[in-house]
Amino acid sequence: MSCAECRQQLELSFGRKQLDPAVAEHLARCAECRAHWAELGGLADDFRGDDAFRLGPDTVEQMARRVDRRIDLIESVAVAHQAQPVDLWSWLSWARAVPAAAAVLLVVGVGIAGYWLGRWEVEPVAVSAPVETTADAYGDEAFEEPDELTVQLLLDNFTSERRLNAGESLLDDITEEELRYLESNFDIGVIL
Amino acid sequence: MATTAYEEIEILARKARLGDRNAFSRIVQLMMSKVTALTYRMTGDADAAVDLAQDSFVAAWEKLPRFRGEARFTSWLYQIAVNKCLNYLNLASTRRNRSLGDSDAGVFESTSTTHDPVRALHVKQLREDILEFMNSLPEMQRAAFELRFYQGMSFAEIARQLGKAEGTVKTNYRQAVLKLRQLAGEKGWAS
Repeated sequence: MSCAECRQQLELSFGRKQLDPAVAEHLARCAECRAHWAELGGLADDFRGDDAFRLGPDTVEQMARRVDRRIDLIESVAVAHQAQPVDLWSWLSWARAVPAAAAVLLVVGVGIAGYWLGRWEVEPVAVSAPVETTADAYGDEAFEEPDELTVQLLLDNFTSERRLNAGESLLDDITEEELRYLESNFDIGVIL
Repeated sequence: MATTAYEEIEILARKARLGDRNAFSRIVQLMMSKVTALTYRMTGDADAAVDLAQDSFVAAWEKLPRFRGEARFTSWLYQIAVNKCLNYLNLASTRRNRSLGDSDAGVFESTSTTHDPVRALHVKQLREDILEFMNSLPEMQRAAFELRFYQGMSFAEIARQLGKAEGTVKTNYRQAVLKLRQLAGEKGWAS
């Protein structure tokens, strides 16, 4: 063991009386390390100071009483807790239960409403198809749209726009039988 | 066969663990001075030391059902006290700057010294020197020195209780010893 190793061990043994055999062996043959150990030993003895931190009996008694009182308090609280097991219903007093119940009802209500709103099917509003042709207007699919020439002929012959030739009357083309029917059933003078 | 103080405390601790309040009160009486000395050396503040010592005993009573007896009861109690001091030092780092021993107000005056003024003065000076030294150490060195030098615990035990590697505890202790040697030389403390 070197002197450096020995001194390190001596410093770790500061305050102790017993030494490792290897350290003791080194000390037996090394005066310098022996002096180092003696210095450390003297310092430890001087510095232990057992009397320096000794409390007087009155102080000990006073402090012990304070500790006892604090432990009494802890024990009494613990006993009180044991004597009164937690009652779920008393814990759920009205002050806690009413807001809790309201919150639960609100959540359930919103859930149910959401469920039914999701299920409700809206009746489709009837919307008429756009009118583009005469067939559309009458709703008769069998109606055959007249061609343009037919339409023009109808417009030329059967509208108030038709201009009559000189000496021509609107009733010129009715038959004799038709005229008699008109004379017998209507005041023909008003018509003409 | 007469039992030593440590053996008596271990017996009392076993009874206290079973809920015997009288046994625990006896432990408080026997250990109060040592635990308060520890908290005073660790904090350098007499008022805090008294409070922390009482806190340590109350905490020990509360934790007693969980004490399995793997370590000595006294070591377990010192561990509680040291942890309380470390928490105190962390929370109130400003208090470390206060002048040491200025508020002991005779709390640590033992009856054996009060009748001998010279002895009382020597003890007071020694107390101040120790507090000055302890206060000069970083917290982990202080805890290692306190538990090893003043409480006689092994490095392995200190490492386990402080949650540090044994090598770290040894390093901290050795640095504290070197610091003490240096300070003693500077202040003329060495005999």
